[in-house]
Amino acid sequence: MNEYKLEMARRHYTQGSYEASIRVLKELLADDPNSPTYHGILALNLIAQHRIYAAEYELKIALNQDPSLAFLYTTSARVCLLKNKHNIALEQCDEALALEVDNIEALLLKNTIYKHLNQHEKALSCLNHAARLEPNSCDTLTAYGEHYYDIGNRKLALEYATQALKSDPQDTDANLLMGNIQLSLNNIKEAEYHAKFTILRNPDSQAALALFANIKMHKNIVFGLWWRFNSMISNLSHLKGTMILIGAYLFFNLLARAVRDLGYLQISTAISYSWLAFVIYTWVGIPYYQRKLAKELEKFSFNSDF
Amino acid sequence: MSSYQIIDEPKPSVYHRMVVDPVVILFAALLVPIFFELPFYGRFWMPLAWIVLNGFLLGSPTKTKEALIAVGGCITLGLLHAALIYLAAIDMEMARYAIPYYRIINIGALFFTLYLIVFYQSAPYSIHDYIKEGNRD
Repeated sequence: MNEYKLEMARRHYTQGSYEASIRVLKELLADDPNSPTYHGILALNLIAQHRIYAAEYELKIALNQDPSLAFLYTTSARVCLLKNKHNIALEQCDEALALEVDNIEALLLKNTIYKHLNQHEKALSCLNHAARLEPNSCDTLTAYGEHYYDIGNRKLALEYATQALKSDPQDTDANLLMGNIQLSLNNIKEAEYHAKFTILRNPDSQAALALFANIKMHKNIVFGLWWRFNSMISNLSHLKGTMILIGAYLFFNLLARAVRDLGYLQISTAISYSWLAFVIYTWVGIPYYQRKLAKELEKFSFNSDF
Repeated sequence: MSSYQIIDEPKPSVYHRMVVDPVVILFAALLVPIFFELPFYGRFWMPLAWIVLNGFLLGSPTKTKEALIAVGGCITLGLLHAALIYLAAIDMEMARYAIPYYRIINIGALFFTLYLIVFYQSAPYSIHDYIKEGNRD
């Protein structure tokens, strides 16, 4: 029964139904809190939900229970990567590779980490190692596509992205890569298709929203800037958003007061109205942007030609 | 059937029905002073006290952090007030001139503190809300 439930939890996770997966895992952990596998898969779900603190806690428990499971180290590396602790992430990947020399996930993660550190030769070396083990996996093909796209070789990037999508048409990273490549080749319709597909599968993807905004800019620069601005604002962390809001409040109001004290009443009034416009925009503009995005995505339909 | 508790899930107290969405407290802090004059400088400390209490009733995993932020906010507001009194003692004219600026900075400090606590409390509140909906089903 537990094996069946574990399989169900894994399936929910791969399909993106993280709440359902967590529900099943909580039942499994209530029966058996000493299973590092359950804690590890729970950590993966928590990472997908951006609950990093809880994910770290689950990984700590799992590693205490069994430090010989490679996937726990790769999951830990993902957490470190999200926290921009690249060197610790690399160490975790090396721990995983020490346990399983041919751990594809660790190799691909190292490729990603080296790219973040701008160490492209080391990134390619890890990627080549992964490709020797699984040359036709979607993740490996996508990683090659990203490598060639980054170095400006669009032709090869397109070939790899096409192969990746043949291998798994539903993969979000492959679709995102294809969207970026198509945009760089001025194929707007195809780029828009892949951007929308990625956003529907992963609504929190900043890269997909940025791609969609870039596509809008391509069609109309003014509206495109509006899309770009709103996608940046809606992706701000709460802390940054709060600091910007309070900073704007202090700036506008102190300036309006100082200008008024200097005797420039009209300019002070204009500044006060600017602050009012800013506040109204934060209340109205972002929800309007989200409604526009939802409306654009409503028109999307899956097309196997792409 | 007992369930496993994830570390960032709230552990609501017996009074969990009194828990409100922290954003509601933020709105109340914005709107209530427009219509009512709260006694004993209530405009500044009442929203902070309410949101800290909300965190404890919710069983927020970050309730200690939220309380410390509220205390830090109160200390900041107190220091600003003390600075104004000190300025008044030195130069009354300058203090009168500074009052409108003091009010703006005071409100900025209050809402920065409130927003920070709302930021920490929103995540456990949304989990609490989700679990409540699940139990209702």
